[in-house]
Amino acid sequence: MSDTTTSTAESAGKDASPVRPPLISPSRIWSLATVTFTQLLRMKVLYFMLIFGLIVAVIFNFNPSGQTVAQQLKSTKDVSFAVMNVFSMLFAIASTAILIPKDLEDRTLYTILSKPVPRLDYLLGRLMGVLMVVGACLIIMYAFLALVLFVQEQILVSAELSRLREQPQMDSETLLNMENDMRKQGLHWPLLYAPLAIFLKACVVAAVTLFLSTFASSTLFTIIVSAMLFLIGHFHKSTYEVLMEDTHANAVVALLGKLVVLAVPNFALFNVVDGIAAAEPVDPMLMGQLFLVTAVYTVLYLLVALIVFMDKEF
Amino acid sequence: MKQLLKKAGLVIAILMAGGLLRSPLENRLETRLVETHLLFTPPAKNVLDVLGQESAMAVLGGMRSVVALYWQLMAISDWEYQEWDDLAKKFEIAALLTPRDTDMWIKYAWHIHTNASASVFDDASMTEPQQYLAADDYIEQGIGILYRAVKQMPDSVDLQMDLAQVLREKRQDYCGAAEAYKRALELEGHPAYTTRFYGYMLAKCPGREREAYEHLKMLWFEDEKHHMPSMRRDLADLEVKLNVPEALRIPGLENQDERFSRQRSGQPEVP
Repeated sequence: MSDTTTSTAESAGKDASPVRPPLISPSRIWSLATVTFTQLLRMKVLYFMLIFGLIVAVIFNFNPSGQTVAQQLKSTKDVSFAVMNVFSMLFAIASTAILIPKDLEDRTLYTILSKPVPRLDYLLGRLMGVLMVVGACLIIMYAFLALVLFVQEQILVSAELSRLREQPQMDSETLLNMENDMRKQGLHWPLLYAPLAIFLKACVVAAVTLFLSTFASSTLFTIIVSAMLFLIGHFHKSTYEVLMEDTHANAVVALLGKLVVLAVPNFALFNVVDGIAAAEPVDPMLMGQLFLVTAVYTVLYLLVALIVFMDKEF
Repeated sequence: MKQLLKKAGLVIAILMAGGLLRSPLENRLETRLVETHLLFTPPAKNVLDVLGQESAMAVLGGMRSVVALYWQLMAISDWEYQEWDDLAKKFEIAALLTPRDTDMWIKYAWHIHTNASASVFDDASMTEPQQYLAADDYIEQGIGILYRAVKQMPDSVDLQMDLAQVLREKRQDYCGAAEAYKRALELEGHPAYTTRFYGYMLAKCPGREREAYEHLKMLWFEDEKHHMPSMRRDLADLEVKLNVPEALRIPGLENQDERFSRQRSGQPEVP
């Protein structure tokens, strides 16, 4: 009897103690990510797709004098990827910067954090939501670009080939070589690495912005500082190398430069889009390493964001 | 305050440690990306100065190709107004930003060796000898641009072919053209006629007639597709020039005497 009483008391005691939620719960993160996704879509970000479509349509019909077929195709890719790049970076910075302040303003943050939701899950869910929107937009933009590029390639190459066929002494082998040269700048599978590289860059940008927003007092501050870090991250390494070549460089400046290089991500690494658009062969192993570098950056900035956010009082 | 400083210290320490850990991986990756031409080295400071603030920011922000395209498009108005020095400056920037854009190099060189050199003859402020000297100077500049491009991309067939054509047509430098065709022959994707053109240029290069004859003869017997009028003419001329004994000559070729008699009778020259 006493044994039964004891065991009942023990089980009652167990029930009474607060149950610690698992540190990471994929379902909770997914719920937060989908909510963020919907929330961001309601901000009418997809209107940007119309602007993108318009720009691609303009470049499709843009044929300045003296441009070869290959150059026209390359121009379409260059401009489209540049627009995709700008959109992804702006969106990654702006949407991540407003998330925590907006949750605070709407008091959603209190509702979420009062539930057994670890703060890591909250940060991960929000970040994933932003990246889902960026990823979806990139897929839509790339699909549109691929369609336009395919149509442009067919029209331009066939017109050029019929012009070339009329030329005397144009043998089939030469024609084939010329066609291959033109089509090299057309639609190919390796081109898919370009939106992937843009997405990876957006991941790092969003992670850095999330870290800044955990301690920033205003959204504007987060946006401005993130944009500055984004720019600094493109040239800090080369600037530091130039500084180091100068033998008269101030030691304090050199040390500060080194600290910046270590702390700020090297965004220049993600500029492989130019090479991919120029139809340079892409080694999947290198893209794998780029993915690894992105993962390191994202984990690092999430970790520091968590340290700041962990016991922050709201 | 103490708590805040402790936290800030921890964040900085993690970022620094992370930076130290990722640096070797990043450096290796960067080197490989540059080697495989996927990544360009950052433009030099003097290029950034020329670009202006907005373009420099765009280049540093990862939109190098678009900025290069912008400068190429800006050069079109210089072409229209025949401002060749301004055009060259713009193309130089584009070339520094996208050094592996073959079409850009070819177009840049074409503007200089063809358009600029032809335009000087419209310049009434120059005397005729001055016009010829200026045209010659532009042709030399255009060829120089192509040599620079070839140095950047020795694996480009298009550049070698263009260089050969310019040397042949603008300079009548048949030996130089032959070398360019030879380099093109060693590259994948060269046009089928490259091997014949190499022979034709050798035939016109003093001291290399024997080599030209052997090469063209080899082509003649290799495939009937090479039996072009120019091939017949060059082989026949070489046989005469090299005093090839009648018994060893290729049968069915037009010889020089026949050609002279045809010219005398007013019949057109075989192209």
